[in-house]
Amino acid sequence: MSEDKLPKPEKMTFEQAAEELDEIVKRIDEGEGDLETMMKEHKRGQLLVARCKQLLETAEQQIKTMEAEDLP
Amino acid sequence: MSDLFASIEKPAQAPVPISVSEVSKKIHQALEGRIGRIDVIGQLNSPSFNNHWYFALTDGESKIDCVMWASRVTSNNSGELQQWKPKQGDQVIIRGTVGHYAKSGRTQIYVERMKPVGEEKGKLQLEYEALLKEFRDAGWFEQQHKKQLPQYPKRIAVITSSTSAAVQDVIETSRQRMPSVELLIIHVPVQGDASAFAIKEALQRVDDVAESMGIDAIIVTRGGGSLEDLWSFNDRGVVEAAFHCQTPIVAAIGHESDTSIIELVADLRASTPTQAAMVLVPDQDELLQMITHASDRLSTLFSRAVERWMSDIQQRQQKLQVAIRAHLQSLALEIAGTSEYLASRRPHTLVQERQSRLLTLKASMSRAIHNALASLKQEAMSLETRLNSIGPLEVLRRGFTLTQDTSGNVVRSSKEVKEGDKIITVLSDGTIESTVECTS
Repeated sequence: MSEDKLPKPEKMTFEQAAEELDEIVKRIDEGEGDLETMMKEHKRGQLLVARCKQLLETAEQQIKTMEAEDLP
Repeated sequence: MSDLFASIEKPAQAPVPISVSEVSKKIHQALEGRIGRIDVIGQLNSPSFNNHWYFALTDGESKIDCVMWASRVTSNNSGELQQWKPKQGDQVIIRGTVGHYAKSGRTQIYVERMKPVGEEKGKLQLEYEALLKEFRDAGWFEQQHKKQLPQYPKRIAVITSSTSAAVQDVIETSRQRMPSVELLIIHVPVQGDASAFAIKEALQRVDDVAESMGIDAIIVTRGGGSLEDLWSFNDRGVVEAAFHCQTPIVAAIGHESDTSIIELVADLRASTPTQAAMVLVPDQDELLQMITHASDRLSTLFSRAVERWMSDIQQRQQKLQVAIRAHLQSLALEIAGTSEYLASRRPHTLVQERQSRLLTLKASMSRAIHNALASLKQEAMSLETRLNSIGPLEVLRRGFTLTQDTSGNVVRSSKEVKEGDKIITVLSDGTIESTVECTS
């Protein structure tokens, strides 16, 4: 996937960010790609880490109660 | 103190003796009046079922006789209990009044109604077992139908009573584990006649809007209760709705020992509402640890990779240097050869060549001229020699002399000089200067 097509971390869910982070760690672990690619992936990985932490550290619990018939 | 003993020792009034029948009647009245109508549970023992039913109830420690008159037997065994025939050892619940049967002097219960223990449960149990068999035979409980639970759910619908302890357990557990997970509590009655329909509707509605609302999973839960209380979760419609639901379901109904059919068709069965929240809501601290670990690993792996690349680059650099040096040497040699060749073809060289040739030619010419001159000189000398041999000098060599005045004029006559003049006598090998003393 080219860099342009990667979703912006700030728009990713925890699952998406964590999954991509895992893939990056795996690829770097396996030594795939050239140095430039690896550097880009490392940078991307750091952004994903920040996104995951942000999502985890956010949060006030949100609870909404409704009847089934009130669902849209 | 003494008055007290006195009253014991001397009763105020001696009791009047009464008959056995009278005391029996008093006992009967006391029992009936003080105890009234009661429900008693016990094991049926020594039954004698004719028109009237005679039996005893026991609980292992005590025993009480019972009688159920024929009229009660008839009314009791109509309706739901039409097919039921109690037998020795059955656990039963009777309703009746306690009395004293004077003729045999026994205390007994006059039974108005009798039913087996868990009569409702028995009926429901049969239905439960039939449904269980049906759905099991249909393969609805098999693993192949289980959907994977979302690893990181963002929004979870909780179908339960919004006022129950179960929902509080789910909320609290979810809050403790990861408050960012949003809970959508769909309130439904969880027992009673309307509950099955409401639960089925809720499941279907939530599933319909799950995608558009971003609902990642459903928890269906309820606290403990009797089979009758929990029955809605065995209801065919509810079970079918749960089975066909596209959204993953975690079900936790009643106590761990109770198994509702919805729990068997759900994608995961949890033992309690708390457990349901635990299996579905990831633990924030664990995730933070996981992310921190991934982050550390990313840095470590990247550092290692960079080191490897640096090492690789250094090796390549060294190889490159060696290769460049070799290439340069090769080029230098080639250039030297080419330079030599080119030098030989340069105008300057050509000029030098021609100058050199010119110089050579000049030298040759010079030599030729010199030789020619030498030859001419030799010839001239030869001629001179020949001339001299025939000139005055040759005459002089033969002994003759030549006289000259100081001006170099040849003195041809003695008269040309006078006394005292200086004369010069030229010989073949030199001159003699003399002074004329006299002439003659």
